[in-house]
Amino acid sequence: MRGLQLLRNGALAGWFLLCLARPSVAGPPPAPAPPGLIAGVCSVFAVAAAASIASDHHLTGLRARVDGLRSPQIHAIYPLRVHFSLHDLGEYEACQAELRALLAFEPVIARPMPKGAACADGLQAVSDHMFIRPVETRPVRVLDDRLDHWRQALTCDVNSVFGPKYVLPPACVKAINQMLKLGDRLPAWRAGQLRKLRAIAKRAGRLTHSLKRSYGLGVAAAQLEAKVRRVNVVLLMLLCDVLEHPNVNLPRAYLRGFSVTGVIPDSHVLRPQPAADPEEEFWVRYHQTMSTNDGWSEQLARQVAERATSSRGKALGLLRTSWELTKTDISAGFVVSP
Amino acid sequence: MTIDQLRAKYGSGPRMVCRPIQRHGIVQGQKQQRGPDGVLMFHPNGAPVNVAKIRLVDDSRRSLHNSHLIRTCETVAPCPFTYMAYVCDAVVLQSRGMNVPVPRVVFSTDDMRSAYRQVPTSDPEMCIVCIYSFDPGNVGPRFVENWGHNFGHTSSVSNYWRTPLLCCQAARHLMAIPVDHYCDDYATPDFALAGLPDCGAAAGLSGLHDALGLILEPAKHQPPNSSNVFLGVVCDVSSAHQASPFVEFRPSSGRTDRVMAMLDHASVEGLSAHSAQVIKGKLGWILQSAWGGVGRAAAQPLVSRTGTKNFLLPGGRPAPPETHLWTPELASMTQFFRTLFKFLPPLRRTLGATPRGRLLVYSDAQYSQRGRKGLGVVVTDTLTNTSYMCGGEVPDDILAWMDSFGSRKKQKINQCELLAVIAAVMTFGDILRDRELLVWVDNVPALSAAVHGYSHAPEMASLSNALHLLLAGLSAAPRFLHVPGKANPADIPSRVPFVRRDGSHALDPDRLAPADARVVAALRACYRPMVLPTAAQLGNLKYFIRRGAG
Repeated sequence: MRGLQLLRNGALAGWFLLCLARPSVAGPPPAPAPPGLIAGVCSVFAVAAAASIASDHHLTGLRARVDGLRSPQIHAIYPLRVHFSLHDLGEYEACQAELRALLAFEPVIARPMPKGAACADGLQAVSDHMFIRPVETRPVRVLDDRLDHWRQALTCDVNSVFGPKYVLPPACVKAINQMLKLGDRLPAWRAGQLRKLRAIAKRAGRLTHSLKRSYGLGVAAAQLEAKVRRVNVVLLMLLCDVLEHPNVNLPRAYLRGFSVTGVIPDSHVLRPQPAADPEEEFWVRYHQTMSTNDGWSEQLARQVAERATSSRGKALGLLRTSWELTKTDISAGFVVSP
Repeated sequence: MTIDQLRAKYGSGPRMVCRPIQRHGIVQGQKQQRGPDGVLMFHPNGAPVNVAKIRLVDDSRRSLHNSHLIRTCETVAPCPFTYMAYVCDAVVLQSRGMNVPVPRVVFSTDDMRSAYRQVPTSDPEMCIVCIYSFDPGNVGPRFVENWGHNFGHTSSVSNYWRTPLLCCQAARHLMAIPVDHYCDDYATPDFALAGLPDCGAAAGLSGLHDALGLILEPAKHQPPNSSNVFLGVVCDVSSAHQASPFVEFRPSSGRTDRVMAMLDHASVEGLSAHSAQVIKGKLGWILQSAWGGVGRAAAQPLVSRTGTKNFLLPGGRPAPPETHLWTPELASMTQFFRTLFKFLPPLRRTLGATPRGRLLVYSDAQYSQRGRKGLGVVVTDTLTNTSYMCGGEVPDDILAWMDSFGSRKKQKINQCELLAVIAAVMTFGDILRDRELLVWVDNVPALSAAVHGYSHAPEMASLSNALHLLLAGLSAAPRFLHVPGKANPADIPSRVPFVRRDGSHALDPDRLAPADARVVAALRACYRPMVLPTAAQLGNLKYFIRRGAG
């Protein structure tokens, strides 16, 4: 990359010198330029070329810095490489280290198992609510011996059938342990942690400001940022990094928005769900449906109008209230005025 | 914007890139009104000021948004209303392990403001809603662009849940707050130490959201307390630090009052299918905080009104599909719930308890149209290593009661099998109290009714209701399992009558097969006379509520 830029700068410089030597190359013969102007242009170009080389050095340094940074977030938001200066990256890394120092215990997260899979402890991830289960999955596998069934039932393990649907997250268990260890020091410790977190958030807020300006926000994100709330995206990134949170796409989604149709990328924190259709077939169907959008919109407008004009009493009151509630959303900035 | 403006912005014909969604307002019962300052409002007599609760739902199913979606993950096993029991249990167990006194536990709750709306979408052209504008000078169907998520998109759920999940993780790791969330509702446990109301968990969670730029709803914040409402259920953790610690749950009085008010209103104005559906949903939410499947089956008249399934009403009459009429069955159901809410014992979770040894309960029935209609029960207490046995025949008045539902079935084995489970609970109530039960049944319809607390057949529904009311009263925790008929020891007393010998009762040896005799000898079970409900009691479920409540 750097070689290409040097080549490009060299070509530009050559073209410029050629223009000076043979003015016809650049266009119709102009009036002779004063010697001072030529010298000035040359010096400006030389400065630009030097700046370009310096910029290349900067980029190289930046990339090396990014590559050396232990941050899945920075790596995930690839275009970010050109949105953070070396100073910004240094600040990010410093915030990251400070936030890491605030961890009460090593990061831990448990993703729900896929449907039907058995956990490490043998529990079924999700009960299938079958009354008559396959013999090999029954707590007592005796089929036709009353005494044997009774004897085995006395000590059988029913956890494989009645495993709890909800399990206290491991981080909660560790948090409780930390609370008990701290005892009476807990309030002061928490206040200190919060104070430090706020200080980090303030610094992350400055980085967020420049990130949003240079990276650009999606349409919906920009509107919400302007009217509703301002999400500290860099703090989100820092938290994801420090907590080793597998949902790497989350901060980027606050910049660009979350997809609501099509393929929703895996969160890596919620229970995985196998796709029902092959993706190619899905997209064919998707585009077919979307080609009917105009007709659908017209049909919808007609239906909504008919319903409003034919409604009376409570039904009409409900429609009016729905409109008033939508106007509340408009005034709150969540939706745009029609 | 109008349809023309929509076309101008998003293209027309096959090139139109947006797909709007119809917005509906849905009345979801009533809610307590809040004043401008967010404080709940009451009438001068102390009764809550209720207003219709209207939710805006965007019909993303009809617009095909939800079927044009590939989700690679889903939300499962979310934080239940019993969350604080899980937390308190861990506190008790860890305190004992560390040999420190169990601290006083409190908890606060929070709610994220306009949760879905705060989260941006990358394809806002798929979130435009169509709604009728009544504004003077701007009347007609209008298309409104939505920047956040719609209430109705399937993707909204999994997209939104990622944010509170990360917030919880951050609070746990950075400030040792064992918080969890159900959608936008947080339950934040804390300790009350050294005379302080809490140790800063609520402030920590709020501070974290402030730092992230996410907005919590201050009006919905419940400050740290030993009793708060989480997910519509009152959770009381005040006894979590006592010598025999426990946590109790009960439906919030506001919820039960509102449901009863809706039923009373329907008794005057009539009950539509939609209202029935709303009340059924609210009842289901309330009853989850009751023991097992209490009261579920009693809602059958409501279910039949929702019109989604065709049930037979008592007497074999089909449920009228589109009527708003207030029927005697609905009136009876309303009365039942009024009594149930009055006497329903709180759901209690014992903390840090070592298992007391389970109770095995085997039940069985024999039904021959012209012959014996027997019931049998075998109970074994693994704590005392003692077995009990009882048996008997189904009384004629109960068979007549089953017939009174109009189905006139020749075969009543399912009903008798469920009756056998009830007989087990009524006969051995003193042993079953506060215990974990493994109930083995060899009949699938009876098992299903016992598990769900519900059945489509009205007499089965009534029996399962009675069963769960009894179990709730005993604070027993049953687990229903299937046993093959040939492996069910209770089959023996259901077929073989007891005879009196030498001053005690024993199974008639002349009618015992050698294999059964070996089983009976190994069990060494004590005899108890079987207790069965009367037909009059089965027709009056309030009897079971009162019997359960002691």
